[in-house]
Amino acid sequence: MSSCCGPVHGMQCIVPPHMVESMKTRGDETVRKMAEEMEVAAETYRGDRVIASPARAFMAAPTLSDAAEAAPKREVYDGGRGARLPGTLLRSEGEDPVDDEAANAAYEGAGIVFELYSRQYRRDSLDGQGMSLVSTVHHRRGYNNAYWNGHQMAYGDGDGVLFAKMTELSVIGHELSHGVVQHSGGLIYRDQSGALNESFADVFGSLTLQYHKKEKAAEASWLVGEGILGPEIAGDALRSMKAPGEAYNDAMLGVDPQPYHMDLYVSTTSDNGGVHINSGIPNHAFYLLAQYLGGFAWERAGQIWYDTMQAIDNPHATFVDWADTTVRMATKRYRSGSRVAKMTRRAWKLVGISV
Amino acid sequence: MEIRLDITGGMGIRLSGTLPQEAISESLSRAVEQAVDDGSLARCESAPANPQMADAQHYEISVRLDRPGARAETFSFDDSQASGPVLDLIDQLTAALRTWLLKSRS
Repeated sequence: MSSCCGPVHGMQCIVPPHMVESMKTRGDETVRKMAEEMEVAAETYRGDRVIASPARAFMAAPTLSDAAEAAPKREVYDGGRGARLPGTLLRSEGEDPVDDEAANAAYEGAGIVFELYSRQYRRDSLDGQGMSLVSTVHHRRGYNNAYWNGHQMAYGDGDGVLFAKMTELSVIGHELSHGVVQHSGGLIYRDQSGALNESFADVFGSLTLQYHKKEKAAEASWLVGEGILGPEIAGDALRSMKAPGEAYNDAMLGVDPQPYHMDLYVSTTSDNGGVHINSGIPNHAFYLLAQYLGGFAWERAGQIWYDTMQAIDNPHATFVDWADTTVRMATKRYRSGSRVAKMTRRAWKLVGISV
Repeated sequence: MEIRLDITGGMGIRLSGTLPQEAISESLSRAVEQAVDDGSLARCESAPANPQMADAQHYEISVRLDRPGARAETFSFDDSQASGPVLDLIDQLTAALRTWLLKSRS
């Protein structure tokens, strides 16, 4: 792949900002660097044009053969309450538990997420090629957050007031699933595509918990981050897929802002265009589908969502694009006119998206 | 000194509020003043963000220094743009804000 900035053979082309963004999200280190250089060049030489090779081609993750059994490669580090990553190695794959609750929770949780993806969806780790699952616990001081940084997970300890802990299983499933999104072609972390990225992480975070507890759709709480809010906070969880907008209502944190229907879609520049807000809509569509289908949600409903992530090949996907692809995937896997396909369409209709 | 801190993004929880002088310790006040003066906070704004990072917290910090005619300066950046020392400072500010909000509530 060649990098070029400025006129080439007298011909000037321009790479639109959304394509540069795709390159940054989907490209390897070289392509990302190129995209960043392009942004700088665009600012420095206003009026000049740049050309570049397109973002790395989309490629769905390879599927494990039926006979193959994948094994996780986990590493958990102690961040020592600082910001540096990854920190000091605490526990590696196959080692006994250590005297650190958060480290053991991150280790065990990563193993459960790995098992869900490998056994149910035949995916070998986040990239489909057995990548190591690297986690850092005790990240920063009183940090009320957990994140995926493109290479690894990082979990704060919470401050003990607003948040109790971050290594809850649905949160671990959520963060690791951002890695699956990244290695499935990516969804730009802004506006509707960002909300789909968040929703995919919520769906598979919740499914991780349900899979571990062997809960059927009707038995599950459908809460993401249940129990991680601190004792001073009036709320049950970060989000509710069953009842978006009702996870918490607290004087300090405000009211859960999630909508459950397109009529309530929130237009905002905050939170990357409301990625954690409007994700309530596709979250609720998934919840409805899981309820319609019954049984274990990670089986049919989860399979449709996973297939959609592998097929969509559009980092700027909108809710309609995603919904349309779920119906196509349901039709492909369970045949046209099947109950599953009909119920998929119906779930979207009930959140205000007709496909 | 007066500091307004608005934390969004992260896992979707928003925390915001204004710290009055009485809620800011002397050492924290000095650290913030230094981060404004030496450009640490300003540099975060121009640092490239990591587009593959999900659930990064976003910070908007408005600082009005105790100087004659001083106006509030605002800095916006996320976890991936901030240096280690700035992240440490953010954690201290967040703790101060939490304490202040809890105190104000009771």
